[in-house]
Amino acid sequence: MAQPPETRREQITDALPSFGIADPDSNIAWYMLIFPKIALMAAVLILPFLGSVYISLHEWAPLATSHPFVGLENYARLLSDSVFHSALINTATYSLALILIDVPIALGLAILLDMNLRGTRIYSASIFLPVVTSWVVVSLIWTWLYNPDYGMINAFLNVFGIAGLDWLNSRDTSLAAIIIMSIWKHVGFNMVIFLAGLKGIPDSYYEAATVDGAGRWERFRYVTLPLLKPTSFFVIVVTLIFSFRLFTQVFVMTGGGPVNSSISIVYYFWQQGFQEFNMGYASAIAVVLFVIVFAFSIIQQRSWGGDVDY
Amino acid sequence: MTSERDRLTRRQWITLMSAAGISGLAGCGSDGGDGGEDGGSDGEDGSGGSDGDGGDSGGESATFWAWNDPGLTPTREEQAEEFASMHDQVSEAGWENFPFENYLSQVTNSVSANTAPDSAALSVLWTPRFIDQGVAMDVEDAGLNPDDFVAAGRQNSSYDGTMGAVPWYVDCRMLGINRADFEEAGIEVPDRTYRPTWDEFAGWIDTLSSELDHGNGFSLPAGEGFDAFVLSNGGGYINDDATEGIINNDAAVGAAEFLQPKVVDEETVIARPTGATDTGIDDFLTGNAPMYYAGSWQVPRLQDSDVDWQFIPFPSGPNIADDISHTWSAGVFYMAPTAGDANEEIGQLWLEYVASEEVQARVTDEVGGFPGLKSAYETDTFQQTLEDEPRLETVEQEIENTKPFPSHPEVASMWNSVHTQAEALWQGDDIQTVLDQAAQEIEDVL
Repeated sequence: MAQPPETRREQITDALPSFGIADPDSNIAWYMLIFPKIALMAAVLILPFLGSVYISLHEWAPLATSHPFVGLENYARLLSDSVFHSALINTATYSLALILIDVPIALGLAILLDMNLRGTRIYSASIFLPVVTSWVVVSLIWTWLYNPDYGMINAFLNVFGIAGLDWLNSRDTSLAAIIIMSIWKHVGFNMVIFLAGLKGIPDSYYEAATVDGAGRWERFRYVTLPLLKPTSFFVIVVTLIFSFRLFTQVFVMTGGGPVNSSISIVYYFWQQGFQEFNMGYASAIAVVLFVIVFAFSIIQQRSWGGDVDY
Repeated sequence: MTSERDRLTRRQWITLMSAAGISGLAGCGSDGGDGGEDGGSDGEDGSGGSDGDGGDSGGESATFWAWNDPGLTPTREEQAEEFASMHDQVSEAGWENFPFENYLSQVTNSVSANTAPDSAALSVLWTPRFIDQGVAMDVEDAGLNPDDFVAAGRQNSSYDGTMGAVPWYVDCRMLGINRADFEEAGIEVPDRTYRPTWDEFAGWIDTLSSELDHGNGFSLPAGEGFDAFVLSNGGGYINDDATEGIINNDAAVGAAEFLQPKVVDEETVIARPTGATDTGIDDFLTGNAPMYYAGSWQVPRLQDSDVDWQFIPFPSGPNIADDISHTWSAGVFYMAPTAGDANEEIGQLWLEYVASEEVQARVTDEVGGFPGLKSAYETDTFQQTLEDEPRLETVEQEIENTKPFPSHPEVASMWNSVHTQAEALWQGDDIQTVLDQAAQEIEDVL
């Protein structure tokens, strides 16, 4: 016969070392548990961020003997910096493309794999394979695939009589080329998350819907989608944060070009900080990037996150 | 004997192969990542060079830094060995090589973190920055005379009257031509010192692109190739007193008007953007382009190829006197840090070694560059190198016509601005608008 929860809890509490704390529910115990995490966060996240904010208010070169205070000048400069504007637009476009294309494809694939069709494991492994591959390796491979003269993508297009494109060397296609590659690489990650979410939906809901006469579309629309809301929220937030960190593909495939057509915020931050050594300006870019991602996350949380339980 | 049960099923095979594939790819990824991390940690460890306890002989351990360049590495290692054997106070000398993209930040950070090497190789774009920050040893303090170096090499390693680095070698840019392609297209192969006009050069491009299967006549890097046409038309980045960007003047506009139709409309000139998988020399060596924007440092690679190559001087633009043209002079320069806990004594000895006539005289044979030291040109070693490779005659002539980069700490920013805007030219953008933008960006950093 099962013991009442209170008894079980007392037994567990007695078995645990007390560390000299009489009441494990006391504030001190709670603080001791949470302190390492807070200390780690402060050391690797909060303090460096505060440092970035501080540096962003100065003209800061690594070898300079003085770092004059410039107030908000670096932030004001961002407002009129056309390269930063390009980086902002490119990053937002990339982010939007991933959310509008990557997420639905991942959901579709997850639903297909959830049907337990023949060969499901092979398909899921194939789709997930790019996720575990290094971004650098994938970027290099796709750089060759996109080669206008002997790349496989143009060769494939030529089979259908479609003229090949100068994918990475044209301002019109460079960002699109990076987006296509990134979706191919990243879709497996979102698919796995969705798949886990789908597996968590009890069959009884579908059975009840079927009894009520719901067809496949109705079951998806009125059962699957609402019950996947927490998963979808997680996927979109994670994809948004991931997409705003766009760097490796740009670094390897285009260097931000041609004519800044594929430059991203993080790439521009790196360029300013570690190529031009404008650390103050680079820090201002980093702070703005943080504010943007944080704001989007809060907005999503407020507009959607409060309604994710079922 | 293998029983039926011992055999792997199709599913097991697929699983096994997938696992192997995943492991392989993940392994590749780890290697790539580790490479970068190693660079960082090696950088930190680099201080061991200057702070070393010395080896068995009781001397100091010398550490030099450079960016990865497989063509230069063997020579550098031999030099380090020779350097250590020449000095009792140096027990051993070694190199730390870093990826080019991260190299500048490695050197900069090492100086501020007190882990600087005893000497660091520098690009021409970086030298003024270190001199301006007061962390590069004045070569006169090392007992060297700036007047002993060729003009472009001296100017490229100087800022505000201080020569803060020693040019190991200097280089120049020219046209690399495929002699067999010229003959096949019915063009008389020009003499190695013959300088074509732009009109003549344009005629070659038209003939080569129409007569040969390439479909094009010339390949150049999108940014630096444009620079060469600007310089060869009498233009540049900034005016003499470094107060104004002049990349939008008539000379530059003329260069853009000459090249843009060939790249955008006729597609007879290939403009390779920075970071492209193929470069001009790749186009040339693979038979994709019969002419390319060539560098003197590429001689060893050309010699190893099957292409019937030669150099000729860069074409001369209409804005400039006949029989002259200019290209950038660059090369590899060595700085001895005076900060960052570097061993200045070893740094000074290294600068003396690099500037020695023996080292400079060998540089053409070893790596294809030309000596930075004037007197090295008169040595038997150097003259023998020219005799052994007569195609270097063009380099010998053109090294005199090179232009130093603007002597300014922000020259790298100028370079990036002009080259980014040059990419816009090859996308078909309005020439004056593009060059005005480049000039404005230059003036922003002056």
